[in-house]
Amino acid sequence: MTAYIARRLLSIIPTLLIVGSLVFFVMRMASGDPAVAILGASATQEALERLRAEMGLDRPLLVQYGEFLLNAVRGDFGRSLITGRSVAEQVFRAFPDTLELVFWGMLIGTVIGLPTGIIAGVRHNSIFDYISRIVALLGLSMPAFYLGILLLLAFAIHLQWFPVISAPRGGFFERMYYTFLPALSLGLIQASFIMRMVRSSLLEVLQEDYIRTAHAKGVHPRRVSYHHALRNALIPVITVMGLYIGTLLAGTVLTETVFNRPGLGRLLVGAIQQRDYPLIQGGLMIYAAVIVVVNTLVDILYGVVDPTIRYD
Amino acid sequence: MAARQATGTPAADHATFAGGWNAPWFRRFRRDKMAVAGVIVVLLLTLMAVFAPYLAPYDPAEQHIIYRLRGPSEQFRMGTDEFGRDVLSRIIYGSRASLIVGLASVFLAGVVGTVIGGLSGYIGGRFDLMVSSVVNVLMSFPSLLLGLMVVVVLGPGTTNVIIAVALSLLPNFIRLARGPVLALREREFIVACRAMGASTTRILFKHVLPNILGPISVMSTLWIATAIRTEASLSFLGLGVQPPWPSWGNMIKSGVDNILSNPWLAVYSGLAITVTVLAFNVIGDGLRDALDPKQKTL
Repeated sequence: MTAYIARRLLSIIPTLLIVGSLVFFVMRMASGDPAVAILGASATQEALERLRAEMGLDRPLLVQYGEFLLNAVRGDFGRSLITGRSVAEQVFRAFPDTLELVFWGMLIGTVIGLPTGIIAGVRHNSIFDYISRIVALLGLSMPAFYLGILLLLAFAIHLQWFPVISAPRGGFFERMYYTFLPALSLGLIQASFIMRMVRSSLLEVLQEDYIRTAHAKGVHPRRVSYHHALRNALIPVITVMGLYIGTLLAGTVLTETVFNRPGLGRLLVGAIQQRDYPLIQGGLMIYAAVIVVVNTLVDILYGVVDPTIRYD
Repeated sequence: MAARQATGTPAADHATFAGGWNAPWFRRFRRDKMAVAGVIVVLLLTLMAVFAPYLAPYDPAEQHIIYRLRGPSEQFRMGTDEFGRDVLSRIIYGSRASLIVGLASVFLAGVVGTVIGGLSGYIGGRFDLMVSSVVNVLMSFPSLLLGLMVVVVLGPGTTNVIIAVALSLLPNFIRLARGPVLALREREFIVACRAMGASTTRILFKHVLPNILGPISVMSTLWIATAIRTEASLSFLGLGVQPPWPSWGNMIKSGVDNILSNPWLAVYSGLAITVTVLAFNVIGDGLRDALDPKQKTL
């Protein structure tokens, strides 16, 4: 078991290496010569060469690539072309706001999606099942940022219960007040995913032989549903929820834009619009690293909850 | 009446499209009211996109500056945007961007992904190992993030968005095609073909491809929905279809920028996206249930 966990954790390294390489070469393809990007097309040849030597751009690409990876490991992603500030500093300052949004989104999604999915699965083909399936399908089809706009229109602009611009500050409850609407827009979409997943997983498990056995030996139906079936049904749900954190993180790019909320997503979009390549590079790396780490943790958790998984 | 069975290859009969109009899968599909409704909506949308010039009351780029940011009225059924352009006409024309990007990117990713995935599964060895490790890494990324990366390299614009969305879907198709091919490779009828001296190309196209077409078409339908959403998201960020060309995504963007003066702009364009994505989703769900009733719905 320990060996399994260690191996899974170690596998993060090659994955991050692939991601880092991808980001490095993609950014090089996009930006061309970073010296030109910084000084502009009208810069003199001398100035360009001086900057290239300063930035180490006159060395072979592979050397630069190695250096990029080494610096990335140390958390150094260079400086922003626009503000001149450290990319790492900007990224790490924006990140907590994004994490806060993802956390509440995930929580809202689970609190709504899990019980709905369980009830729909246990009482399948009931009116509750029917309605929740239609709502979930609608949720799956609606881009989270559109739901965000509708919530903004209804609760911030029309009813004025919540702020139009979500700039979290102050204590816990004040921050929640600013975070609630964007988190709700992500969470409701997340709930649709979880509901459908729990429901179908539960339906599948309910057809298993051991469920019939439990019924046959006279176990109370409720105990069969919630004790025997649900436990097994939740195993795949954990995986999907874990994998969905990536989608949720990416969704913040749009949600933060709709709600004018500071965060990694807004930072990244701004960097893309201004062609600030080091900042794009740093932002993408952080997104990627978080997703890879979360996926691995989910994988390990999956091994822990499912005793039938073999660790080889 | 006995249903006609898939002929030719003995594998996975329930997951192939054989049997014509009376095939069991098609009869199951026709009974699924939601899926049929989805087909009707997609047909209507396609007609709308094709006949946009005849349906739209105004030129989508025509500016009526004195009527800018008006709500719905007799003259402009869905109101006007910040340049006084008719929102209804722009939504009608915007269906072109969504459908073209959705269909073209899924087609592109489907063809390239099936070829790479199929070869990877069939050839195996080091090539397969390399392909699967890259796919595994790419799969862990949300399609929006991959799309963003590609648009950063290529720059915004309709063609680039098609490429970006296609690339973001590519790992899904590779994995989808690889799995069944891996299993099929060892099946008796494929081994028999090889023993009889059939070429690899012949085996792949005549025997392997028909067997993986079922799942690929189901997922393609669902991924058209994803593609349309990704296009809308990229255009919403200003990185997709560029104005003055209307796309539902860039219309939502101008809707958000002017949300206080005319909220209808964002509401209508988002509604168009939702209805379209919903239609493709229910078709995909219906196809999956019809082709493989045992498979679970996610």
